[in-house]
Amino acid sequence: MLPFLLLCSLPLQASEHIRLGIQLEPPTLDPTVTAAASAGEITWCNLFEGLTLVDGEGLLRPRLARKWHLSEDGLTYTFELHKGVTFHDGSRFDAHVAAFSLNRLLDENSGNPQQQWFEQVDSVTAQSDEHLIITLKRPDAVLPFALSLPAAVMVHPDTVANNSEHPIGTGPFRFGRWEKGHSVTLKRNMDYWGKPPYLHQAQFLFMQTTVGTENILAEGLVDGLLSVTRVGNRFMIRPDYRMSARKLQSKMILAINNARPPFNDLRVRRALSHAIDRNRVSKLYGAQFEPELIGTHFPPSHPAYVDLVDRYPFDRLLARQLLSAAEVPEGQTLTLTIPPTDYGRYGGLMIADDLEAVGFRVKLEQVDWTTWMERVFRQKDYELTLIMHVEPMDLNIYARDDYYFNYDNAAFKTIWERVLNARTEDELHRLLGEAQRRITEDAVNVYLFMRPEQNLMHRDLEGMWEKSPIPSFVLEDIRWKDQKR
Amino acid sequence: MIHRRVGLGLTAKTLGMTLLILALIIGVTAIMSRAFERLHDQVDTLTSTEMENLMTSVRLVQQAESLNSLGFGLSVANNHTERRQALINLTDRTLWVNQLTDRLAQQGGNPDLINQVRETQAQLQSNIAELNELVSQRIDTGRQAGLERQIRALSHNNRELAGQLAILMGYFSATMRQQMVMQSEQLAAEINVQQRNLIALALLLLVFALLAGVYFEVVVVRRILQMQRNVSAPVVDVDAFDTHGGDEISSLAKTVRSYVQRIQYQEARMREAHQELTFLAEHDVLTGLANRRHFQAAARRLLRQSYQPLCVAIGDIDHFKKVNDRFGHATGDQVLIEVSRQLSEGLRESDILARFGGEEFAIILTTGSLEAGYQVLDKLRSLIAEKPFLSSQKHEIHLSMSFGVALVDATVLQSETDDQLTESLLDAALHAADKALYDAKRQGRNMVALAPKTVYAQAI
Repeated sequence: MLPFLLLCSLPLQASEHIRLGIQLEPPTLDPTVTAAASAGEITWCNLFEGLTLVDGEGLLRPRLARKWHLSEDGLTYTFELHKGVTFHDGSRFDAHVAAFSLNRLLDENSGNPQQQWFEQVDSVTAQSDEHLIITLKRPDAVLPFALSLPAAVMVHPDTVANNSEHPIGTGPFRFGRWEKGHSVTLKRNMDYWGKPPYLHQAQFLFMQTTVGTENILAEGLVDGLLSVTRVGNRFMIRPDYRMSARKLQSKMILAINNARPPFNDLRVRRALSHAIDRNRVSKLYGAQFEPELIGTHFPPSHPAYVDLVDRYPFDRLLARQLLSAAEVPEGQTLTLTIPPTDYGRYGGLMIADDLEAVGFRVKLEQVDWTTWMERVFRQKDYELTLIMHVEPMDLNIYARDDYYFNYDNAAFKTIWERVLNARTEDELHRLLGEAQRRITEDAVNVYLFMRPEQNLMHRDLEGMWEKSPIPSFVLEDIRWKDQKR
Repeated sequence: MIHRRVGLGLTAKTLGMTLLILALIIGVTAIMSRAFERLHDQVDTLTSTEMENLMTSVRLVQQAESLNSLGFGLSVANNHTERRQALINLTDRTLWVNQLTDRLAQQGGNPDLINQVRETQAQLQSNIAELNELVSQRIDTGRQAGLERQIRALSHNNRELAGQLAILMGYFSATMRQQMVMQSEQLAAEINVQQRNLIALALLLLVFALLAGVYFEVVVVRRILQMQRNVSAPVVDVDAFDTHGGDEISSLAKTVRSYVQRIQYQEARMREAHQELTFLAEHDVLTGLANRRHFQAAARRLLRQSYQPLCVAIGDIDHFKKVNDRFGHATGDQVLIEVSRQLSEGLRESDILARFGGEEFAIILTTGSLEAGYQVLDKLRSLIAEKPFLSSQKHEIHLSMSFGVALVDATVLQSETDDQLTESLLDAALHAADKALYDAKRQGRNMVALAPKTVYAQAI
């Protein structure tokens, strides 16, 4: 009996592991301090949990909160929290911890990437162990959604300082180890307060190179890739992989440092928009993907979307005219900084060709992700960069004072102020349209296309949260279809 | 009722033996699972670390080789698009090569070798950067002899470096392969040892199980079979039950023995009762003499077997009714008993005497002639008449008895002659004797009268 049980238990374990390829290695595993979406992608709802979440069906639901209640004047939210929730180190989660987490987020120097979602919050206080009160300066119906974002997850004051390297949350998985340059391993949290997950272990492997991705896929060393890649398609002929759809809103843009000459000149920025052949660049993942082109920083699926694709048609002559009007000399050197991703490498080549075709000399600068986050995002030390913005509904970044675009536009800020105060949905949509037109008119960045949201996944994996708009890979429902594997 | 104190023996032994076997099985299982765990770990290391190392180094060999052609692609680029394309591919590949090398270093590859590889890689990378610069210059300024020479030299150097890298990696993968072969040999040896251990343990278990089986055969099965044989013998010998020892089987044997003893006792009682019943069926209760039924059966047998004529007589106590009337029935019964005794004592063993009812007796004398029969009976008659009977109430009672006797000749009868014929012959003889008795009564009683004619079997 005993050896029989032992024999039975061995093959079962192997099937409860999963290995996932992810392109960018986050500079930190704490999603509350970095704009790198990969931190949230690994940790959100796996390691860290928020008061609310957007589930696999795309619905907003309570998570660490049991329910919430909005006062009649629309200015006070009361969140009732789950009892008996503990962090991975055994410390207790309660309203005081929640208040700490949110006040930390609200701190001016927190560096929280999603802080702008909480601009209406006036105060966060714990009324009791189970009741959290959030008061607002103005009514804000999207606060419960904002609380579901990876940057609004709950952290404990005792362990928050180490969350970058050794994150401790309340989620169904706890931190295993981080092999820098290689992988992050999460292990099942045996003391999880909610429904236990199926998997025992999940390993996120960083696919930093195209050839490496190809190697690893060929050898079957990963069970899925967490974003579309150039080489992924080729593996579709294998019977063990399939494409799995996602519902993200990833906008590919050629970001411009608006403060740096000659790009502080609107004509130069507009020339860039005319110079890029979006159609060609959009095929960088392969001809069978037909990504939707965009003319602004907004997803076409949203009802407030304004189609501005044809505002700057691909026209090299016009681009050259604009450049000469701005007195940009022929052969002006510019540096295109590209992150270590497929789109960076291959999209970067296409963009460089297009820019050289209108008279620039392009220096292609490949940087690793940490360098990109530090130099481009934080220090704003760049000229052009090709980048994917994966956060949902992030038009508000253009209203930020110190964002890496260096846009700082008073007109847009005024529009955004009105967006925040919109009283009806119609008004909101109209104002969002106005905001989209504003940034397109200012040609802040070159808006390229929406990334095709297809993951390459093993055919036997199920339980992916395909309809969640949060850039994440939630493991709690993932399992192998048949346990024979 | 089982006496627990005594009966614990076998239960305790069985329990002990079961526990011992169980402990043995658990022990074997634990030892084996430990061994399997160790093997599992070894296989795990082999498949994860070692295998991955091997795969990594093989991948590195491939990548190092492909760097060669990519480097060539860069050196011959005619425009910036081609140049950048080649550079991107080269950078992607060198980055991957660096990552793989880091992986090898992390998993404990030879540090000197790793360092050598890293140096070569660094050199290669700076060469590529330089080459990129030169090619870029060439594209911008057109072909110049000096530049071309530099590019050719760098390109050649690159090929050399990529070649070196490939060789180093080849050496790496060869070492890895050797290590894996060694590990798998070790694993095979370990598996062998475990296999032998498993067989030895299984044999031990088998021997133990066999011993347990033999023990039970001797201690339990054989004794139960012996008991069964004892019980099923035609005559159960109670001393054959083995009641030594204090276990359940001894206690069972004791129970069975006591049960058999009870049965045997009951059987004896029943036999006695049966004998008594048989006696009662064939004898007169008062006097203990044979009754008419027994008399007839005995007479038939005698008639069929006799080789000489026999005397059949009927005797009757004279005036017995008066004795009853005068002294009571109890005294009458005493008289009958006394007369019976006297008659019995006066006859031979081979003769038959029966009380026919009331004060009447029937006698068969195995005397060959009527005269001899007369003498026996007359002697009895005078004996009874001479000595008065003293009753328990001290009454002196004078008795006399009359006899009628007939000679019957049954010598022609065969032993297998049927009962009816013999019966008829006996009836005829009794009838003749009865007539003679009647004569004796009529002639004044207290005498023996003879039947005038012999009764012959042939006449019936």
